[in-house]
Parts: sequence; C-alpha cells; structure tokens
Amino acid sequence: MAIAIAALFVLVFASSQLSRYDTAAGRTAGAVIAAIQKPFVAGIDYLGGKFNAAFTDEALRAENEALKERTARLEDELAKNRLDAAELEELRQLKGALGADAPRGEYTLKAASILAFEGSDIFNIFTIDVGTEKGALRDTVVIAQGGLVGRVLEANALSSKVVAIIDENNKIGFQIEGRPTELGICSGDGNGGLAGEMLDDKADIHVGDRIVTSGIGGIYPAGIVIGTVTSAEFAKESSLLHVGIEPAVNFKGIKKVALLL
Amino acid sequence: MNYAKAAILFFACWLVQTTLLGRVWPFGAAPNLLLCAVVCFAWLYDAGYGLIYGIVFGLLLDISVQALVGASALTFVLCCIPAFALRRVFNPERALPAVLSALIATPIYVFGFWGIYHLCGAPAGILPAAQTLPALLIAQVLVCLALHLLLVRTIIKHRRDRRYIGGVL
Repeated sequence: MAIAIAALFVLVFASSQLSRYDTAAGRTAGAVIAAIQKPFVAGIDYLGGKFNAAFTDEALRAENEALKERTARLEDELAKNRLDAAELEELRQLKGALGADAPRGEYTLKAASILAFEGSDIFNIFTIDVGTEKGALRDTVVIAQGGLVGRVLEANALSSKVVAIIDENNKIGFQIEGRPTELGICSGDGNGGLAGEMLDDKADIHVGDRIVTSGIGGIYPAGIVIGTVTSAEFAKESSLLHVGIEPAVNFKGIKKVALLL
Repeated sequence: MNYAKAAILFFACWLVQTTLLGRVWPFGAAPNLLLCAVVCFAWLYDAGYGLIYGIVFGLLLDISVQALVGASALTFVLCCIPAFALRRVFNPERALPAVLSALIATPIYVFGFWGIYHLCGAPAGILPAAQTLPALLIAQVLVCLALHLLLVRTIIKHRRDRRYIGGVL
C-alpha cells in the first residue's frame, strides 16, 4: 500500500506539472473515455426526452422553448444597446492601458452536449462532446443560454474538460453592465455562486445590477453575462468592496452549451 | 464475487457517477459511488479488490473529469485504510462497522482530495469542502449500507443457517 501511495503521489505531482502541456497520452485516454461515455449519455438523453414527452404537453413545451430563446435574444439585444459607442471606446482604452489583449473579432458558435460531471461539489469541472477535431482549444470560452459557463481546461480529439465559472480556481474580470469603469474580479464562492471584489472601493454597485465580463485578461471577451449582484458590502477588517453574484446559468440543470470559436 | 464481476460493478459505478448522478441527484452533494464501492469492497473482501479497483477506477475518474490525474486514485487508497483496520476487529458480515468505515472514509476523501489540490496550487478554500461534508456523509452512508447489504449476500449466501434458533439438533 505504501508503494501505491508513493507512486500515486508522484503521478499527481507530475500531472500538476504537466497539466499546462498537451500530452499525447492524455489526449488518447480522454478520447477513448469520451467514446465510451457518449453512447451512454445519448441513451440517457433519449430516455429522458421520452419520459418528459410522456408527461408534458408537446405544444406547451415547444412554446416554452421558443419563449425562452426569444427572452435570451432580447436580453442580449438590450445589453448591447446599453453599451453605447463612447462607453465601448472607453472600455477599449482601459483594456489597452491595463495591457490586455486586443479585442477579438467575431466568433462562431459550436453547440456541445455535456458528457460527464466531476460531481464532487468541491470542484466544478465537466466534460463536453466537442474536442480539438471540431475546433475546441485550451481556454476556448463556453457559454449557455443565459450567460457565461466557463472555459476549456484541456481538450482531446473528441472531448474537452470545461472548468465552470463557479469553480474557485477560475478568476474572471467583470464589469457592471452599462458602467464599464466599474471593474472587479470574481470566482466561485464554493456554494454554487460567485463572489468577488471591486477594484475601486467606491464603485457604484447595487443589488440587482447585472455583471458582464470585462474582457480584461484576454480569455473571456467583453460583454458576456455572468450573473446578478446579490450583495455588495465591505467585509470586516478589509477595505475591499465584496460582491456576491448569482450566476446567470443554472449549473445544476445544464445539458447543452456552446463554444465561442 | 470474482474479479470480473467486481470490475463490471466498478465500471457501472464510474459510468453512472460521471454521466448521470450529477444530473439527477436532488439532495445537494451527490454520493461518490466509486468511493462507496471502494469502501464496501475493502471492508468485505481482501485488499486486492478495494485497493486495486480503487486505483484503476480512480485513475479512470481522474482522466474523465478531474483536473489532476491520480488525485481520486490516491484518496481512494487512503479511504481503504479505515476499512482494513476495522476488518481486524469486527466481523466483515456486520453492517454497522461497514457504515463506520464509510463515515471515516468520507472526510478522508473530502479533505484528502482538497489537500492534494491545495498542495498542487489550487486556491480553493477548505470551508466549501467542509460545507459539503454533512450532506455527503448522509448520502455515502446510505449508499454504502445498501451496497453492503447487497454484496454481503454474495459472500455468505445463507448466513442465517448458522444460527441455532431452538429445537432439537
């Protein structure tokens, strides 16, 4: 047993050091596992669909889906309209001043299904059925209906591991929607929500404000909805303005996502 | 239970764990089926089952959905230790020590898992890990108990036959 523990310690350490590199062994193993999981998940989805259809009126469900899509589209349009040209220019200048990457061009969306969950509730990682063959790369941004989901942690030919924004290890630069100078950084709070700090302790932020990505840091493009502010207060013995955020995406019920390629 | 049947059971646990359980489990932290299987096999059978399958399927779990390869496998090995220790004192047929090994193994899993990631530089705090513990303990104990009652029948098929319940022998 001692040998097994020692060997596994070495493996974990090696894995932590090699995680930033894309190894052939890791890609192959990931692809094989995804190939095993894919038909099982397809079967579950099929049975789930049949089960739902048996208990839900088909027409009502279709109408509900259409309304959801329309709401999401209108919300996106509203968000775009709130950022006028002057604010966008200000944001670009701010990003330049902070040394961020130049804004990226247009994206194409690639739909993906969730294959597997990490499931420990300590970390928030899941696997999707789109890999490098379809264009997924490390740090490819993942969204869902409602807002930002996370980014690709590693990708093999057939699947990718995605680290969700509610993971404590995933830091995201944000801004208040419509107020691009109010910037902050957030990450998972460990309870399925988000928590962060404002860069300016005098920031004009209120409960109910919508939070979007700031684009600072170069991974997440600006303007993707992250969530809604649930609390904004100074913590004890700290001058930082702490913010509680409810994610826009329901991570428990998530089944389909889209990659920004 | 032979090794092939045990492997099928572990494989089923892994598949359900990674693809289905997170979606359908309604009560907070979902149980880790592989951990339950590891603890139950370590308790009921010799070291070969819990330890070897714990390592093999822990690695499979790591490759499929974890950021670090080896973290689950290592915690599963550590989780076998209480079961092995209790086996020396109690009869493996008894359910209560099996539940006790699950009770001890669950915090080892949660904090061991968190500790390994923390050592490798993940900034996640210990508090969220601790907060998942009560719900996870209940779920783990229930699943382990069910699995124990199921598996114990495969070891001793007619356990009650050994008991003298009166009358002329």
